[in-house]
Amino acid sequence: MIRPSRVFAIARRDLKVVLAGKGSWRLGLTALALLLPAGAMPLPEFKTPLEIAQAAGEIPPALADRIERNPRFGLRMEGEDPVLVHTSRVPPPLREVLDTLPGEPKVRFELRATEFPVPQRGLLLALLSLSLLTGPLTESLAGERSRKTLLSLLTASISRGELALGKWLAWAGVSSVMTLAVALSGRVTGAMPLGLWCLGLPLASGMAAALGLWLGRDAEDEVDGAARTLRALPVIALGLFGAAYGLNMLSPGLGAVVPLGGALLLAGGLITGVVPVLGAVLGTGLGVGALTWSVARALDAEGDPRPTPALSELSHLGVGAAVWWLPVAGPAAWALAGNPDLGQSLSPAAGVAVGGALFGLYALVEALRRHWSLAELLNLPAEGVRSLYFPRAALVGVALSLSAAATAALPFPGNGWLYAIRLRLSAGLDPGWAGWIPAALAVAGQELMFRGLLQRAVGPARAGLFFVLVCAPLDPLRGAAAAAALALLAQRGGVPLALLARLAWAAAPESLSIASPGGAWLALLVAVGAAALGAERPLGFLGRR
Amino acid sequence: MLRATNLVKSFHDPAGGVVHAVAGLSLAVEPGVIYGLLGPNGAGKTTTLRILATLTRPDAGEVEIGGVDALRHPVEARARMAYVPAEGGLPARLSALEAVTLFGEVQGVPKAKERALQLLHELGAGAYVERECAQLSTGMKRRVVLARALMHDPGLLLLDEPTDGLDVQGRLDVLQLIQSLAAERRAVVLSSHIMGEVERVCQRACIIHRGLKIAEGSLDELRSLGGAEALDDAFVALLNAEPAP
Amino acid sequence: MNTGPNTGASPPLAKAWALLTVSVLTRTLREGLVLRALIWPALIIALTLLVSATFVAGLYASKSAAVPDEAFAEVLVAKGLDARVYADPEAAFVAGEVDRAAFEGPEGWVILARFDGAYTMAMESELRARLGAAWRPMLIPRAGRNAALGPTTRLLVGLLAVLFVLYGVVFGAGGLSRDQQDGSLDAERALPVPSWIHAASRMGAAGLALSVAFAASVWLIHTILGVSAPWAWSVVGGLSGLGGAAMGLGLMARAGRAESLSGPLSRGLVAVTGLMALGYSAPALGRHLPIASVGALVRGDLPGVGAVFTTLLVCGLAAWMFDRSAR
Repeated sequence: MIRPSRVFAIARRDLKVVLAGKGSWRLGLTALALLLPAGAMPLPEFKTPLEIAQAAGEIPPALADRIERNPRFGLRMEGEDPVLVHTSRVPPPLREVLDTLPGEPKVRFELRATEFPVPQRGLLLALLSLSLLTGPLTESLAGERSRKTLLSLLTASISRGELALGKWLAWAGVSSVMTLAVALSGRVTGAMPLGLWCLGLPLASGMAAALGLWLGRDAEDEVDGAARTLRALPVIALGLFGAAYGLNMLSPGLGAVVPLGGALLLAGGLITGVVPVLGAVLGTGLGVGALTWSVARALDAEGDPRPTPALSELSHLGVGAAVWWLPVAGPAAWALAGNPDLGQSLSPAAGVAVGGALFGLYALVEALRRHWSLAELLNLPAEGVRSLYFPRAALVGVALSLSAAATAALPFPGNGWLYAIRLRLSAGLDPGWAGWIPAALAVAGQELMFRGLLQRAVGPARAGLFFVLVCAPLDPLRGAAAAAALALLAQRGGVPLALLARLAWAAAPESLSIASPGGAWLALLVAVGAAALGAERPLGFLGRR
Repeated sequence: MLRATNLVKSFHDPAGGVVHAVAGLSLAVEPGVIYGLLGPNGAGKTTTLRILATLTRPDAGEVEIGGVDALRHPVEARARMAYVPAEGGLPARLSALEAVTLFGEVQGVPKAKERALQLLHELGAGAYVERECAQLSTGMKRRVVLARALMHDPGLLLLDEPTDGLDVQGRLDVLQLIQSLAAERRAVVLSSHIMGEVERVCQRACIIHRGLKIAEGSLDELRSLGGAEALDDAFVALLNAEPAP
Repeated sequence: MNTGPNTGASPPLAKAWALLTVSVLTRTLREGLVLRALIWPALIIALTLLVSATFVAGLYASKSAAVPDEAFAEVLVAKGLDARVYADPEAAFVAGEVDRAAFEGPEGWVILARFDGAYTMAMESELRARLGAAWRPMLIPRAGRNAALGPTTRLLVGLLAVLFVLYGVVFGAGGLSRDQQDGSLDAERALPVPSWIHAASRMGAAGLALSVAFAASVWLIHTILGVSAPWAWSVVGGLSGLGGAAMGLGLMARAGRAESLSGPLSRGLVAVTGLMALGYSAPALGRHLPIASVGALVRGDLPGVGAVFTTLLVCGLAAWMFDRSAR
């Protein structure tokens, strides 16, 4: 049930509550400070570095007066005959100058690249209006919730849909009026001619207001709401704009239907014509409707205890995978993207070190959040560690170091990008190749994360599984054996014992490795057996805790 | 005015277990009656009030307010009742008059400003209508909250610990106000754990424990059920008579 | 053993500050929202980079080239291109059979390419070498790669730093606003330590969380893209996050209980935006100021020692405002 009079009454109340006192002129001043420079001030003419003939290094004397010297520019010239231009791309103005060198044969370079249209200034206005809405939207829902005024509204004889729509109307309206006023001032100063693009401003404002309310629909208070909006709104806006832009490249006008993305395309002057504009109105309108409906649904369950998210354990897996795979294997993606030189120039050792450090940091922060002591994070047994376990841990480490050939048990392509990724990810089990310091950081971080934090939080079996998935996804059999041995050691002596085994493993010379796969598997069995020997429940690590 | 039958509501606790907040509760309140909802902390009083106020949907059961099925037609039911939470929830920077007027406008009350003024005067807050809510005393805030609740002239008032945080005089004033509201043939459900004020204003009451109604009746009936002269003692006796979970 | 009533002795200031900082830090990190806010930006940037790389792979990974003679094709194959001899390379290019073509036209040699990049440049370089040209492009050597990517990575990390400075304002103002509302600030202020210690511990906790998270983000991106001067970024980002938290705290303390969060938050956001714009447009000055040093570093100006002192000055001012608001 939607009654327009109630929706307007709610919008009026919302504006009064949030903008009471000095709130209105503060919002106005903020809007002026943000939007006016973007919309009304004439932009100074400036050229990007690629539009100027400039270079670093040895500029030939014949061209010295036509090429600007810029020691910071990433294009360096060297030598005289021929002049070598070290760059990743020769800017057209520089090419023009270089082609006038004496004795230069005629070579015409023609780039028939896809044209990427550049959005107009209206896009900037629309994007800035998003940041303008962060404060009021946070106050409108999360703020009312923390001050308990939302509860009284929820018991008024209005529907949840009317309430959500009223709040949306208030802020979509304010933002639309502001951005349109700025567009008008741009018309007055001559910076922006009015046009159909102006319709993109209220559309973007409307969708931004709906998104802001949706992001804060279950935020506890203003801080929670503001952090969510700040974090997610720009990413969502740029993501949807990117999606719309990409679709528009495939088929002009198609991107218009992407909610918010179409509105931003329109504001940026990237779509024209009645049908695409109608598509933008429809797409964004549907987006607003869906989000407002979702806010109304959330308000229906206001105050009820929320179920604990079932994915909390998986989030450890997700973060673990990201902090290890991105720095360690990430650079290999550049080869895939046709720029192998960039990928090769990035130090794999630095990636291993950063990945290990991030594991350690994550484990420390989680321990701090859980109020764990250092002994708890290190998973130290209450009865202490028996001294005979230390040589046994060293033996496990040495046995694991002999097992490299076990990797060959699974067939794998011997080259290509997947192989390159596998080589880098091998640092999960054998980080020795990265050098002493990165290897030490990697194993320390991994042990804190998997044998410390996770083994205590989710049990040895799941911690071991997560270790295999994150650190040895392309060598899972050997990874599983290592995970079992290390989990058993950690049950006896926590992280220090597992760490000792890892250090012995990393330090053992590669030449010791057994060449035959059978021998390597035997070494793995010895490692697991040595770790399990004497345990009261050798398969105890399969239990939850 | 209010009829609730076999209300059931369960929640999942963080450990994955199930908490039965309300387990088959029924109650009925007639116009002009002040009905006390009593129980220890965590008994299910607030959940029951939230179900009656259409804030929480029960897993099972029925709620009828002024002849309207509150689960099927919550908006119509809300037009017939008002919920006053323990925390008043007044917008800090609005004046008392603005806060009450705007709430009336949201509910479609005609001539909302005039009615807000009239109610604030009737409830003894006439001298403070232009003062910002943040600057009102706790007792005055309670009066403004009650004025807000009465804007749409509801037949049922659900009051969650209405005297919480008030001094002796403020408490007496609010209890007197509640009695005068009941005298206007409104049904009042009052949740409290202060037996003295229940004895002062309520005609009937029920005691809730672990989501179940363990006793209901007039105050004399409750005293006799608990085998004690004071309601406090009867309340404790009735709770102790319940088997441990 | 009962040692009798408290004698009223205050703990040493440094110890009180450290304990309160750890307490605020733990409280802050226990909120999932804060942790997510600190972790996700870097992960999103890193993932976006890799997704972009994969996307670009579709555009740039093509190695196909059409050339008019076998000798030239062999040279290009040695450079990693998939070069083949066509009778009419231009026609093959226009027909979409290849993404690059080199041929001799009526007015000289022509190179057609659908996109630039390493392989196209290798083709042009080899052609110019073959013709004995006076200049030829060379893929930038590894040693100079950081300088070449400098402006791009500086902008990227600069955007990340902007986000962390904004977080600083939100954490500084929001934390205080929340504690004002729930009454825990009054309880804190009743402790037997000077009032400004509470401001210092809040700034310390926010500064520490933001610095560590920002440094981790910068180094993560550094491993994927190669950030020039990652140490300088770590310092500038940390100082600016601290500066943002101090501004948020000071503005919220000045506003007091009479104002909700949105006012000081909006003022703080505008102020940091202005400071960063100042740093970008006047880097010589901006490199010595908190927050403005982010703008200066985006332009390539390393931070000056003055930035440390001015940040501490802003912190001192915020603590003074906090102390004054308690009276």
